[in-house]
Amino acid sequence: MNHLEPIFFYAFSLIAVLGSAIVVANKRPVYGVLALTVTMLALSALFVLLKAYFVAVIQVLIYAGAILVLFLFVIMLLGMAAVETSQRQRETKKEALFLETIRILKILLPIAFFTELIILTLAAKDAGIGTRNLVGTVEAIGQALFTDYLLPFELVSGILLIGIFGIVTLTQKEEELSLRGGPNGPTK
Amino acid sequence: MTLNHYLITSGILFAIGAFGVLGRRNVIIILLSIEIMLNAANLSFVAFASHLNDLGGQVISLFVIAIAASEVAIGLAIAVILFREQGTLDPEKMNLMKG
Repeated sequence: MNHLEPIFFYAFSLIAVLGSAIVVANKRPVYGVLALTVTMLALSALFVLLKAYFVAVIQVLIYAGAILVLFLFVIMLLGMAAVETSQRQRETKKEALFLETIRILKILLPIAFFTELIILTLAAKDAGIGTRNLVGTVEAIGQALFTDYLLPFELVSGILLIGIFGIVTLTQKEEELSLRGGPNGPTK
Repeated sequence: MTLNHYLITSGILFAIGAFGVLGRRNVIIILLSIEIMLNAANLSFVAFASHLNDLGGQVISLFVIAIAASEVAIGLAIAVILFREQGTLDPEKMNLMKG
């Protein structure tokens, strides 16, 4: 698939750049999250082109599956009207532009997904016999993680644990804090 | 495709993300732009791993993804708290410390 690589590279680079441009340019965070999903899928396809298969899978699972869903949950929690700050006035004028953006997204998402499926099947056929002999399979990545990069790997788990503590502390409401004798609560 | 192609793509993505962080006035979109910048860095890491024939770049991009996950979780928690306290997501209005 060497002769196909430039086509896929330019296509997915274009999709990634367009997706991130939509994230920055449009006014509605929900559309931004959806456009960022397109960017993540295109980047994952670029990782496949670089034969980093495990990183590509993790990219789809963690970013498209977890992080962006978290963004959508928070936008839902705060409410649509709340997250659209200080642009309410000009909204009616640019309504057509938003609809156009959504129309572009509707085309971009399936294209990114299906082309990625095609590229994955093509890549699976001749994995390891391309120009690059470095292949990021699960086995190779796991071996590197648990031998050369064992200490950073453990430190990352510590950072994730500290993140969990931080979120639990941050999202406690003040009443709960004061019930436990927090800074503003009854201490006796 | 050579290393330069991937690095140029990564640079364009990073520039777009930096523009979003600096230019937009919505905390949610600023966090999304930070994600774009982290992904641009990831693309550079994987491209260099492929170019230098070393798995280290791919392993470090996994670490970056893990850090990005915890960063987003904490950032969104702070955004929710700020919205509860101040009723806005505009960082220009978040001047409680008068910085």
